[in-house]
Formats: sequence, C-alpha cells, structure tokens
Amino acid sequence: MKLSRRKALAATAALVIGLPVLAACGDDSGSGDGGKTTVNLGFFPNITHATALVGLEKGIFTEKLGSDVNLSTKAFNAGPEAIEALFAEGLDATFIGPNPAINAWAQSKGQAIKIVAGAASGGVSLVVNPDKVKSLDDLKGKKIATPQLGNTQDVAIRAWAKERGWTANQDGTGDLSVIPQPNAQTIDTFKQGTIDGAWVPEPFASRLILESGAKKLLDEKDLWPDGKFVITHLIVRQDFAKKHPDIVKKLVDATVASGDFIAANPEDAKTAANAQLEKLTGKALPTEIVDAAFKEIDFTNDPIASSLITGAKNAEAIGLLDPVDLNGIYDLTYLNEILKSQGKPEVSAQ
Amino acid sequence: MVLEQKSEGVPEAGVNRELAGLDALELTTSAKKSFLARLWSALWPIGSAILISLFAWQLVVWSGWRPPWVLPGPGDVLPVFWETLQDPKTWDAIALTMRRALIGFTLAVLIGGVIGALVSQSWVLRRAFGSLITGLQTMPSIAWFPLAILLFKLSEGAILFVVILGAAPSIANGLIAGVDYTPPILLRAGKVMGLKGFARYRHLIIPASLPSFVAGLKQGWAFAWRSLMAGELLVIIGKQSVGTLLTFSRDLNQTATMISIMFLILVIGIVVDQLFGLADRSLRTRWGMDDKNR
Repeated sequence: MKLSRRKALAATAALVIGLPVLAACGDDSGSGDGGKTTVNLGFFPNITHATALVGLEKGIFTEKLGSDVNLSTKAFNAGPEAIEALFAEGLDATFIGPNPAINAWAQSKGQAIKIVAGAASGGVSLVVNPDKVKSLDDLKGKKIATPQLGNTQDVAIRAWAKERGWTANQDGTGDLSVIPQPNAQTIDTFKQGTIDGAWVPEPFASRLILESGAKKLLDEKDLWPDGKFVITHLIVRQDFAKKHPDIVKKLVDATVASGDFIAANPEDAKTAANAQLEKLTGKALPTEIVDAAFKEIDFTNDPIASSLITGAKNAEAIGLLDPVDLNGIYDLTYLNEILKSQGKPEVSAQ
Repeated sequence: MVLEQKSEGVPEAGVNRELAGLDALELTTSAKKSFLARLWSALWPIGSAILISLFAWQLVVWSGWRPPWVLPGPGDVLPVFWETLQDPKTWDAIALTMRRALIGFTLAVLIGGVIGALVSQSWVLRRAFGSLITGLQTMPSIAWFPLAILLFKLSEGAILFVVILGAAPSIANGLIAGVDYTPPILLRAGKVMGLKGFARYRHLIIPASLPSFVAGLKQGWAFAWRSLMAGELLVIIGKQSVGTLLTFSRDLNQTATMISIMFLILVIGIVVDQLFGLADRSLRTRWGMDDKNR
C-alpha cells in the first residue's frame, strides 16, 4: 500500500471536517422534557445511604423538589463509578463517601464538584472469618475485600495498614492483600472462602456477620476522634449548581428533612430504607440485619470536615492522591440557611 | 503497512538492469537508497499522521466539548505518558501482558495449526468443522468470558482460554485457505517426487500456503490481543498488567493516565504489526513479489 500525497490530503480534510460533527453530538444532559428540569441523583444501595433511601421511599425528595423538577435516580456500588458518571454529566448530584469526592476535586483542580451537605457518620467495620483471623496481627498475608479501588473504605484500610508498617499495594500484593470488589460479590466470595475478611460499609458488615458467621475485628469509629467520621455526604456538579441553584437548595432541604425523619421515626425509617433496597436489589434484608446496621450509623447534617481532611492525608500517604488543596470544597451556604431557619445549630466547613 | 518505498529509486534501478542484462529482470533489484532517505520516507507519513491526530484531538479539547478533567488535551496527557513510561511498574505490567500474549498466541498457533492441517486434509472433517471454525472466528471472544470465569475462576487460565479461543480459529482458517490455494501443479510435482506424510507438509504444503498462513497468523494475533485486553479488564487478579493499569486509572478517575495506557496499548499493537510486516515482506521478497514492482 502506498500513501500518495493526494490521499493523505484527503484524509486530513476528512478529519478536520469530521471534527465539528463529533463535537456536536452527544450533548443531551441537563434540562428539557416540556419545560421541566431533570436532576440526576446518585446514591448507593447501602444503609450508610439511608438518608437517600428513606427520602426516596417516603417521597421527601419529590415533594421538596416540587412538580417542575423531574427526579431521576441511579444506584452505584461505590464512589469511583459514581464520580465517573458525574464527570460524564450523567449525574448532577450524588450521595457519596469522602475519598471519591476528594479525588473528583483533585482531578478537576476544584472545578467539578462541591460538597453541599453531610448525611451520615460511622457504619464501617472490618469483619473477618474467625477461623482464619483471630486478632489484628493475624491479618498479615490475609485477603481483605473493599468496595472499589480508591473508594473511602479502600483508602481507609490501606492507610491503616501503612500505619502498622505493612504494605498493601494497589495490585493486591504486600503484607496485607487488599482486593477491591463489588459488595454483592464480597458476600459470595466470603462464603466461598476466597477472601478472609472485608472492610465494608453497612449493611454489608452486618450481613457478613449475621449471614456468614463473620466476626467484627475493628469498628472504624475506634480509629477516629470522638468516633465521628464522614461516611456519606451530598455533592453536586458545579456546572449544574451554577445553572440551577434553586434545585441544589431543594436537594439540601430534602436531605435535611430526610435526616430529621430518620431521627424522629427510626422504626419507620428502617422499614422505608429496606423497602427501597428491595426495589433496587429485588430482595429485602432480614429485620435483624437492618437493625444491626442502623445501630452503627449516626445520621447527621454535619459533613465532619476534619475527617475529610484526614481522609485526604491518608490517600496522599498511600500514594493514591497527589497533595491537594481542599479549600473551597465545601459550600454549606444553603445547608446553614436551612438549619438557621429551623432554629438548629449551623455546621462548619472547618 | 509498507510506506517506505519511494518511486525516486526506480530510474536508477532501471539503468542498472539495462546494464546487467536480461537476467537481472528475474532477480529482485538491489537498488539501495541511502539510509537517511529510507528513514525519512518511513517517518514522514507516520510523523504527519501523529501530528494531525494530535491536532485534531487538541481541536476537540479547544472546542470545550468536555471539561479538561474529562477530556484532557495532548499537553496534559503527553507528560503523563512520559512519566508512565518511566515508571518501572509500567514495564512489569507490560512484561506480564506480553508474556500472556505470547503464551496464548503460541498455543493458539499450535492448536490452530494442527486443527487447520487436519481439517484441510479430509473432506469429512472439513464438512463437519469448516463452518464451525469460521463461526467461532466471528464469535466475539468476550462472549466466552462468563463461561471461562466459571470454568477457571478468576485466574490466568480464564484469560489464556479466551485468548486461545479468539486466535486459534483464524490461524486454522488461514492454513486451510492456504492449502486450498496451493497450485495443483505443485501438488502433482510433489506426488511425482514421492512426497508423503510429514515431508509433504514440510516441503510442499507449508511453504506453498505460507502467505495465507501468515495472513491468518496476523489476524489471529489481532484477535488474541483483543481477547487479552478484554480479559485483563474483566479478570482482575492480583498481578499488575496493562489491563489492570487501565482499570486502576479509571477507578481513580485519572483520565490522563487512562489515555496514556491506551497509547501504550496502541503502540504495542503497532509494533507487533510491524513485526508481522517484516515477516510478510521477507516472504514477498522470497517469492519475488517485492514492492518495487507495484
């Protein structure tokens, strides 16, 4: 095959002419649908995301958003894939853990997202197979599952291992073998014995304990001052927030209202969260698992900013994040406006 | 792809031929261009293609179609690519991936070769398996993964299984087609000379079917490489390979690293294609079908 100059020219022309066509296609996010604005909200089918589960099941989100806003929801296994969807503009806002939010902030140099409200603290445990692991020291050489590489629990366990002087490499080698896999898969692999434990959020920790005889070796609360660390908060896409500040405020309002509902009617909230899980996964959880999971979690509007900063330092320490300036990652104006109007104490971004 | 031949060399060769007499027409010409000229003629088309692609990419970035953290431009990605190349972990990953590719491809050549040889020799087998092999060839190898993972767990075995299934049918088909197109006169000559069994293969069929066989190998490699990449993305087992590097950068939302790994995959593909190109060219030279006559 010989490349003649004329053909080369023709190819170039085709490329240059083709570009605008490429650029023009595939922009279908945002508003539309008969004057209604659509907001794409993400969350995970975890009890740590009960604020979202209960709010959706009880219609709090649709009520607060009003009739001129369409709510479209998507469930994700873990944070990194939610960030991927948010970067692709398939999501406008999502409930998520701290480390993926930090990562999104870092990768976009502070231009992609803002944290607008807290949702939950706690609810993460290291559970293990008691036949293979009796103590923390036994963990050396064992295989421990996390939800996804770079998600909050994944960063937590690697940082924890590093503090003990153990290596836990990205590729699963090292003193502690960390194996990221979807939570639903973790339930199976734990039963099969291919993993020796898991560092996972609720309800998966409680499921492993009550369904598969796992033992709780460590509650992540014990690693944090006052036992408080952010596990779920609400982030929004900055472009979306600029276009629709009113919708963002309504989302925050709904988040606060849902948190209030959980605090006021815990039993009702458990049933609602479980009903929503059943819709998502096709199977409701046994009541004792839901009870156990709720017990582990504090639902709070405070995004616990100090724990976010520690989370970022942990990610830096284990090489999953380049040093990043987190100044401005919070925009709690709406949250504090709402809290103030309800006569509740305001929260801080420090 | 052969891009380095330039027509400027031909007149000189023509003069040489005239001087050397008629028999020179039967020989492949020995017209030599200077090394620099050949290098230049090899590089300028590739170089300009790369520049045009980079420019096109930059245009898309400039258009603001997607924010820079979603689609970073060449200016962001190339330094990351350079860093990636200097990371010893990258080379470990490439080594593992290439080892898997080579083992899988070698086994596929053996299996595909044996099957091709058997099927091409018997009309019963050909009726029975010919269309099945073609069917397997068109079946996307990624469709085998769910079964492979069940059979071999998430392991090297699963990847190897699918790589072989992806490549072997093409190789077998290449050999079968090559045997089909062996000139009957050669077969008759072989018969007269008493070639039988393995010797017939070694000295007649295989050399005669080489061009088609090499084309089959090349296609087999392409399928093997695709299957391997699909496998490394689906079957994440502890060890670091090119596929897991791609998955990791995706999980960490590092688009620039992700595109760098894609470059790496592309470059490996091109390099291997060039190697096949070399084999192809030496074959053409041997058969006297050198490019200069085209």
